[in-house]
Amino acid sequence: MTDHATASTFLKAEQIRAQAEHLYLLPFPSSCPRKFASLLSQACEKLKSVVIGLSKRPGTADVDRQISFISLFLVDRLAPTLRFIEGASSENTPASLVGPLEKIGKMLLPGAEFLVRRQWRYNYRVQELRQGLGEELKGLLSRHDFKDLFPDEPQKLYSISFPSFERDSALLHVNFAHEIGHPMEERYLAADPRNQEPLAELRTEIEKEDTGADVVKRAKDIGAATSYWRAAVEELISDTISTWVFGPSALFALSEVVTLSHSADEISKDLHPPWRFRLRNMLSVLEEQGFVDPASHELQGWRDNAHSSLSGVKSSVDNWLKHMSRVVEQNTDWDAIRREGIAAKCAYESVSRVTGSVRTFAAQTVADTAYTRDLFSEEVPWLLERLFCDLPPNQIERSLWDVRQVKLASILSSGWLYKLAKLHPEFDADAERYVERAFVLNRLILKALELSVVAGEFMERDGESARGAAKQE
Amino acid sequence: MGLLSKSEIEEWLNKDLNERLVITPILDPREQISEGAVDLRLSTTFILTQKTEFARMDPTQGKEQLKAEIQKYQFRVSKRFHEEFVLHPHQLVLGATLEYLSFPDGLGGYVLSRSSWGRLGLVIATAAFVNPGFKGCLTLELLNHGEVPLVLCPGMRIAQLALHRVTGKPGAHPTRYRCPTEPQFSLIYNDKDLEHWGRRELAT
Repeated sequence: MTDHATASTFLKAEQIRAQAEHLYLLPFPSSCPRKFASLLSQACEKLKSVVIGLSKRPGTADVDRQISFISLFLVDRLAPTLRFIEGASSENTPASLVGPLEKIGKMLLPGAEFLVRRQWRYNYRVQELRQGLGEELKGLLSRHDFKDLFPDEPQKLYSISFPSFERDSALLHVNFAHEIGHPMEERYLAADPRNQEPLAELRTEIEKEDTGADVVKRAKDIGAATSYWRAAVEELISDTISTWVFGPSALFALSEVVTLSHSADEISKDLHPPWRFRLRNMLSVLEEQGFVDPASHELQGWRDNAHSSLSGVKSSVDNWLKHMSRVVEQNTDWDAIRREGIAAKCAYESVSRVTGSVRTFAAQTVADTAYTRDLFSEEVPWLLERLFCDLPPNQIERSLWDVRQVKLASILSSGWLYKLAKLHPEFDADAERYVERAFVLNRLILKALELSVVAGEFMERDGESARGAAKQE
Repeated sequence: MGLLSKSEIEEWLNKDLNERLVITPILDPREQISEGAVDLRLSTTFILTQKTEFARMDPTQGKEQLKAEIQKYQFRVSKRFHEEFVLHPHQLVLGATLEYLSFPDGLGGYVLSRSSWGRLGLVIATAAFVNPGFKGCLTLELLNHGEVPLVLCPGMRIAQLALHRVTGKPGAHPTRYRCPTEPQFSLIYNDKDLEHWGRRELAT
């Protein structure tokens, strides 16, 4: 019995190793997937050695248990991670977007690495891959083997997943910034002892509200309220960070996917807040940042008349923003939260009171990468004008000798404004043409992202001096 | 029909956006723009042929079947910048320009091999003419005519675009390849007279 299980476990480790090595050979848009494939392959080699060692020991219950443990680890933990590598290949990802997103991720979460991959479920999701595996491998490998596998302590590697068939929908991938924001909740709680105080206060508030409840019910409510609170704060932090990084595009992108997961007035099964609650927060952040005028619910600081071909863009976007303002003005989400019970009510009331500190934390976190209204107003009209001419919005080219690189957020903003103002009306005229134009827009945005990165790197080296020298001649 | 000089090319590149010749990005204008031509760089995506699947490629077999065959016959490969793509002797692959181009109505162009690459065996094979009104990245048919494999990297200047004026009233712009940003598969199946000229039972 032991022999069979041992041999079978050894074989499983070898099969997973072979698959990891096979996946290693795929083309990838960054080095992360290969590094992870290599880690899996080496981990399997080490586990094979452990199995060989166990097979030489006399069969005991302890040996059986260890073999069974390794076998379960291989099939339940290691093997499923192969799909992350497969989904991260160049063919399966918006390759030109991966580099810039990794860069943003590294700025927000120093020391962490990112792997962008497709998934078949329709949502965006972040998962930590390496540190978790490292913790489990620590219990299975000798100290020497573990050190060999992780010369430094295992660093975090986050997989960010996107819905597979949206691969080329570059504008939707603004939602990546939201996902990068998720791991920030723990940092928020750790950043200042006062940030944890509301969690302690929840107990008192539940006790105040739950006067007739028995001890068990009260304990359950306190646990549930804590979960509601943490999930809601996590979403608020992520939404706010996304808004700071990408400006209005964050709201546009979230509004397009969030409506597909659950209703506006419902706390989802995985405790996502009602999306009306989240969009209200984002709109309010945009108002604080000066992108949206709180009184008129219109874009602020945008002048169509600076670029005559763009007339009508502002009114289309303003209409969209006004619609969104009407959506979030309704408080039906609060009615639903109260109906959910005491735990949800107390948690969300507490969350509302910490919104200010959440926003301050998010603003401090993204200070170096923040996208401002000034940049938006300065860069986006030029880029939008290029889109109107079927050109990629990769840079501002006033003339051959006057070329300026732009922020990634500006490229995506121009795409969103084009989509709202120009693309959506196409649907009413001709649905087929709308689809064709949508595909062209995706291509132009992805190309712009690629060119922007390439040009930025080239200019940093020697192109800028060449351009300058030529201008002088 | 004379080719544009360097100063004329720069003039077209500096016009208002609506009537400008756009070649974006020109990373190094001093090196890339010369008398009569602009150097173009290699992009990251390639289309290769899958020889083992086919005895031959017959363009007369009917539109839908031909379309499917072409997609099976060719497949895409992506490279990152600073990665190598090895082009073997007598191998034909489709690449694309890194630069996105937009031609105004008054200009046409020819894509040519750069002589320094040509002397190593690299030829930009065919389909040299670029229509007025074209927008997109150009598909390049890359052929290694030399004796040894050639290492290509995305970003290298491998082609040149010669430009000339086009006179007369502009017609409707061809829309067969709409704003492409990668190399395009052949659309030969859209040729309306293809089947007419195909193989038939002939009366003796």
